[in-house]
Amino acid sequence: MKTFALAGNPNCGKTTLFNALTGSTAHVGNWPGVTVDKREGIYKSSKIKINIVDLPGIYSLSPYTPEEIISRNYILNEAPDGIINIVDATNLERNLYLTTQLLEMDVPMIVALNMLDEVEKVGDSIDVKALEEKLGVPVVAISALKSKGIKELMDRATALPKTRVGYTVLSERLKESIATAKAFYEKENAKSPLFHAIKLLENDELELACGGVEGPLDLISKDIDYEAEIADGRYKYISEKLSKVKVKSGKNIITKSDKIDRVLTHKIWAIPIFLVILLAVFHLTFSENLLFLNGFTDNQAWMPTLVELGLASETDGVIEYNNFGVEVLAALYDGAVYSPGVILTNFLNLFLDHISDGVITLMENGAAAEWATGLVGDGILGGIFAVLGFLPQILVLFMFFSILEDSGYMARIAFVLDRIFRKFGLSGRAFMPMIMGFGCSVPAAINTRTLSDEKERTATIRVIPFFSCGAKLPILTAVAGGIVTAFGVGNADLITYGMYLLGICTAVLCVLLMRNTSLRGETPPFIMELPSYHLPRFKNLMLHLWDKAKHFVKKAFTIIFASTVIIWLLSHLSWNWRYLSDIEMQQSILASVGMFIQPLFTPLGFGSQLGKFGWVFAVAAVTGLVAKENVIATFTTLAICVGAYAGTGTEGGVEELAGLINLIAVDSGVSQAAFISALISFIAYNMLTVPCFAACATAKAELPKGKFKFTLIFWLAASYITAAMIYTVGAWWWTVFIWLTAVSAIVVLIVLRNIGKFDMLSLFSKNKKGDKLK
Amino acid sequence: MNAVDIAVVVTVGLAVVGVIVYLIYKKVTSKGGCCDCSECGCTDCGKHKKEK
Repeated sequence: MKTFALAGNPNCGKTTLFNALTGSTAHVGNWPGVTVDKREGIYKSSKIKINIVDLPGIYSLSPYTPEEIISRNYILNEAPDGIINIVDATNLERNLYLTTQLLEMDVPMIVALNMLDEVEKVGDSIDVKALEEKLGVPVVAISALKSKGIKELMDRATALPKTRVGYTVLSERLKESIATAKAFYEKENAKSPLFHAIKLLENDELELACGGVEGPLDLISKDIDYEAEIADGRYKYISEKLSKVKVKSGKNIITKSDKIDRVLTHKIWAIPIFLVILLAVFHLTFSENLLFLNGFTDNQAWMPTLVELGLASETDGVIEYNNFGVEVLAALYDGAVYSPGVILTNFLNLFLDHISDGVITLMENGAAAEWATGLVGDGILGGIFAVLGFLPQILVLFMFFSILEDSGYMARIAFVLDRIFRKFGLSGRAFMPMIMGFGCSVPAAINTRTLSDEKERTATIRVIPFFSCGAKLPILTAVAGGIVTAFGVGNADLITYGMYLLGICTAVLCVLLMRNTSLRGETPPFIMELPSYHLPRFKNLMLHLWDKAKHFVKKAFTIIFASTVIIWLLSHLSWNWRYLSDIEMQQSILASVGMFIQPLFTPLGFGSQLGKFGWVFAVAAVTGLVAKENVIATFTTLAICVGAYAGTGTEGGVEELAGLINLIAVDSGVSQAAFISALISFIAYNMLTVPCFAACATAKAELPKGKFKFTLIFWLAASYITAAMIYTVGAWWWTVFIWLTAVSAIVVLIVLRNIGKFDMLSLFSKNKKGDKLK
Repeated sequence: MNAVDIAVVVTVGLAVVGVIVYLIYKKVTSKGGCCDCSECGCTDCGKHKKEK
């Protein structure tokens, strides 16, 4: 089987071409660092199978970055049957630098000139035949995004001769030195001796590390600065010989991307526009009052509810719809038009509720015992369906983020935020893994490999969990919805948006703290190219959403399923293994453990002050350590039982949580302000605390040695302090002055330490004789 | 306990055991990090590629 390696600059379309060739569902982003390691696939559209290897994007074959070393070693050691060098036609000169290095290797090669259509859009043109003559290797124009020219590319690639002798574009001045070094490598029977020879002249680390090269180094002239000459020689050749193949139209055409950038990357308006776009995304996902058509407050509401229209009736807070048709209508409208995310969630919940009711009815008709119906209905189906119910909103949110990412907009935001991030000790490059954190912390932590500075990387990994991942979304949505339903205050989408902003602000403040204390250092420069805007590929987007949905459902029927069974059992068994009905739940193992740990959360508002049912919050927070979706599954499972215990009874989903909230409010006598603050504090705690086990394992693997333990403490401290702040300020507004004083004192101490005036840590250090300082 | 109750116990019991065994198996054979998740659709480990 033949093997071809794809090599090229970052963002030249390698991964897009790889997907087009192999049909793979690799993630395609618009900034460097998305592909960190090589990937392989099979091109089956020819008579023979061809193995395609996608190498990381590199600007040269010098060993400055791990990506460059990976690509270089692969080509030299694995000896593919050919290299497909993807060249971005819109950045010809920069891309051809790597081409001139690849030409020096004794590996068959073909150039794929990508995005030629983008060049022609602005009125320029490239003489492909002339480029082919000058390079001496086949050149094929392709559009990887539109899958054009792919077949011709692979037909010509498979027709390449089996061997090729490398040549160099460098000047005659270096000829003698190159020949001397090359003779050494030929004697050693090295592959691609010309490439090795030129690298040796450049004082390449990898070549020098090989050893035995002192001989040729002694023979070559010492009067030449080879590194500078070689780099200069390549660029001179490119600008004098190769760039002539590009014919500029002479027109100063302003592209669509340029026009859009004038608005979206405006010096002043870029960030407000970004915040508005984010708000729009959250509004379309979570709002129960689309476009605020029903007014901004309850007083302004003018749309009738289904009860007011006579299509439903309400008894003791429970709404009964007249028929199935009205139930379907209720998924779209009930007193306000719902957003797409909410509509899809309502439809799914309608479907799941009927399944749940059907199963319970079947079991009751089969004379199943109360415990069996409780286990299956309340425990398993209640818990799993509560989590599954959020799948549509998770997918809608993920879809919007993918569109923003794939269109090229997120790359612009990274560029715009660089100026602001720099004040906090990060570069704009750190924004990319943070945005990935909105999907999942695991790939986000791995993506930090693109950050070369270790301290910046450590700080970024530590704050990634603060960007609420998809798994935390049910917590935000359910509790926000519970607050709105139980107390009739606020909008669920605004609360959810506010909590996302809280996570971002906490991340920024924590980075500022870290970069001024334990992780002080220079902020590395940030260089990034901005690709043109383009519409995301529908197929890529759908494949992404499908993968996410599959993963979520799999998690629901494995981890969540097992957790809900265990939680239900522990909430219905006493310490002497006697089965307890719902009304005896307070004597259960889970209730005892919950009440034991409940005081830990008292400073955060959801501890002892919530009375005898408050332990549910404590247990939910702990089960969230396994998987964040467990928080809502736990709430639902226990809320049903608590509801039965209190004789209230509740419907599913957010109403369940609202029912639990109402019950606790009445039972504990806690004020509305304090309880709402406690609920917001609960969301904040779960959002900011130690992430799931998978994210912890990844963070431990990616962090430098010895940093993970402190990172765990950092997560616990940040979540505890932030949640405590929210609760105390929300419940007793005047405590804001105490917090301001404490924060100011810490800031002053840090500033004094940084300017060398005072170091509080020195109070705890020992003197030379080993005695503590008084 | 009647037949329905027994069916519930057996089914749920087997399902829980199966899930725990599956999770332990995944943990033992995992490479760690992204490759065990597939949530983002990334195919870096080659496990999740789709062929034409």
